Amino acid sequence: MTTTELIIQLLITGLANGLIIALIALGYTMVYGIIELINFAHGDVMMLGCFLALTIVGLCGGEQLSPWIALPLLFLTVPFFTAGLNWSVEKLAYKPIREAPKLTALVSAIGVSFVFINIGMFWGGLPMDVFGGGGSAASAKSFPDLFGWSNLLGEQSAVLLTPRDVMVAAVTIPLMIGLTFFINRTRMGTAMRAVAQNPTAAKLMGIDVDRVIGLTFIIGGALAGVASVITALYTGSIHFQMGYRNGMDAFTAAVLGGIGNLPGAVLGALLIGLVRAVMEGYVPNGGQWSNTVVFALLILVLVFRPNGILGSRVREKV
Amino acid sequence: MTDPAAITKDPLLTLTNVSSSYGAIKVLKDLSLTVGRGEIVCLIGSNGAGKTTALRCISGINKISGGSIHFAGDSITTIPAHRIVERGLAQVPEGRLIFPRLTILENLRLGAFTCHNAKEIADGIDHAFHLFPVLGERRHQTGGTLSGGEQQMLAICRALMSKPTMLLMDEPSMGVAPLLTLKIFETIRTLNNDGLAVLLVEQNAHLALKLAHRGYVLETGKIVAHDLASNLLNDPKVREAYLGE
Ligand SMILES: Nc1ncnc2c1ncn2[C@@H]1O[C@H](COP(=O)(O)OP(=O)(O)OP(=O)(O)O)[C@@H](O)[C@H]1O
Ligand SMILES: [Mg+2]
Repeated sequence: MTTTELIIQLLITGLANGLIIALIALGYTMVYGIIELINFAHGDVMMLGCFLALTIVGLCGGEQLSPWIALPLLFLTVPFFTAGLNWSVEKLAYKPIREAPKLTALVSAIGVSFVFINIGMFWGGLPMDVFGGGGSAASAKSFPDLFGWSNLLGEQSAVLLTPRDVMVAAVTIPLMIGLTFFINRTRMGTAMRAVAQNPTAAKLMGIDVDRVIGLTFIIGGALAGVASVITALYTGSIHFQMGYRNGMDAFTAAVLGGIGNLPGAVLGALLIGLVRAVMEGYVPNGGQWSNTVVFALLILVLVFRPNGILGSRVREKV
Repeated sequence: MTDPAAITKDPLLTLTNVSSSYGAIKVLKDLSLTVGRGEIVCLIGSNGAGKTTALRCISGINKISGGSIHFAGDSITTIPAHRIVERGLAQVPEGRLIFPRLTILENLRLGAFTCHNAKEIADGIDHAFHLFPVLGERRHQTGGTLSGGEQQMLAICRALMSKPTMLLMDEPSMGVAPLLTLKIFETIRTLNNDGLAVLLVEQNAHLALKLAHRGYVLETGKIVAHDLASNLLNDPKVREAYLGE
C-alpha cells in the first residue's frame, strides 16, 4: 500500500465513522442549544434504536433479508421510534423540571440513561434467534451482514471502499444538508433558533416554546435513529452499552466543535472520526490509545478556544 | 381622582385586582387598570414598582396569583403567552430582547410568526423600513451588532409585524439618544392616530404624560394615582416624585 493509498483509506474510514458520530452529535448540540441540557440519555436512545433494528431484521428473516427491503424498512421505522422515545423523555423527565436548577435536569438525564441501558439489556435477553436465543442478555449481538464486503473500487485495488461506506455518505450528507436548510431557511427552523437565543422573546412573538423544544427532541431523536440503523449495519454488532461509547464520542464532538453550534458538531465529529481512523489504522497498537488522543485533542482545543472550534466567544444570553 | 370607567367608554384591556409574586415576594397587589380602544395610557412609577412585571403578566409571560385580565372582551387570564399575540396584543419588552444572532429581516419575520399571509408579511417589512429607513439599510446585519437605538427601533417594528390592535411598550426610551426618543414618541403618536392602543411604561414621565391620554402611577405594586395625563402633569405630588421638581 502506497502512502497515498493509505491516506485515502484512512480518510474513507475516518469520514464514514465521523459522519455517524455527527448524526448523534447533532442531537446533543441541538438540545443543548435550546435548553442548555446535556441529554445524557441521547446515546442510549440510539442504542435502543439498534435493538429495534435487530428485532425487525430478526422478524423479517435475518440474513436472508435483501438490503433493498431492509434499508427502507429500517429507515422508515427506527427513526420514528427513537424520535418518539426522545420526545417522551423530554415530556416525562425534563419538562416537569425545566424551571429547576440545570443540575436537576442533568441528574434526571443520567437516570433516564441508566433506565434505557437496563431496558437494552432486558431486550437483548428476549428469546429470538437474532439475540442468540436470549440465553445471554448482556452479550454483544451480531447484526446480520446485509451488504457483504465487496470492494467497489475493484478487487485488485489496495484501497477498500465498501457499499456500507457509500451508504453512510449517501444517507448522512443529504440529511445534514436538509437539516441546515430547515434550521436556516424555514419558519419553524427560525423559530427554533429564536427559542435558543431568547425563549421569553420567542413567546412574545407567538412561538409555542414547548412545541419547539419537543420538535428539537424529535429531530434529534430521528437523527439518532438513522445513526442506529447505519451503525448496526456498518459495524455488524450491537451491545446494550454501546450508547455510552457512541454517546461519549458524539458529546465530545459537540463540545469540540462548540456546543450549540450545528456545523461545529459535524466538524468535531469528523475530526474525531479521523483521529480514531489514524490511531486504529496506522499507529501500531494505536487503537488502545485512541481515547487518550481524542480527549487530549479536546483539552488542547478547549485551552485555546474555550467555547470550541466554532463556538461563539461570548455567551449572548443576558 | 377621576373614575376610570367614566374616562374609558370602550375598554380594550382591563386588569381587575391582579396580583403576582416572584416566589414569596408579592410584586403586584390588586392592580386594576383599563386601556380603551385607540387610547394611549402611560404607567409611571419608580424603579422596582412592578411596571415590567405588570406588562409580563398581561402578555402571559408571568403567572398571576389573583384577579383577571380581559382583552377585547375575552378573558386572557389563563391563556398561554404564545396565544396572546395572535389576539392582537404585542409587546416591546424591557431591554428590547432582540434575537442577537438573527438578522434584522429574520427578527422582523419572527414578529409576524402568527401571520401566515406572505403578502401581509412583506407589507409589514416595507412599513418597518419606511418608519425607520436605517433598518432597511442594515436588513442583513445581525441583531446583536446593532446599536441600542437601532435595536429599539427593531423591537418596535418587530412587535408591529403581528398587526396588533394594542402595543405594550416597556421603556422604549431606555438607552436611546434624545433625538431618537422624540422620533419614537412621534411614531407612537402616528400609530395611535391610525387606531393603535398603547400601554406605555416610561421613566421619562414628562414625555410620556405629554403623549398619553391618561396615566396611572404605580408604587410598590399598587396604583396610587390615576387621572388624565394633563392632570397628572400638573399634580404637585407627581411633579415632585416623578418629574424631579
Ligand atoms: N425574576 C425575578 N425574581 C425575583 N424578583 C424579581 C424578578 N423580577 C423582578 N423582581 C422584583 O419585582 C419587583 C418589581 O420589578 P419590576 O421589574 O416589575 O419593576 P419595574 O417597575 O419594571 O422597575 P424598573 O423601572 O427598574 O424597570 C422588584 O422589586 C424586583 O426586584
Ligand atoms: Mg421595568
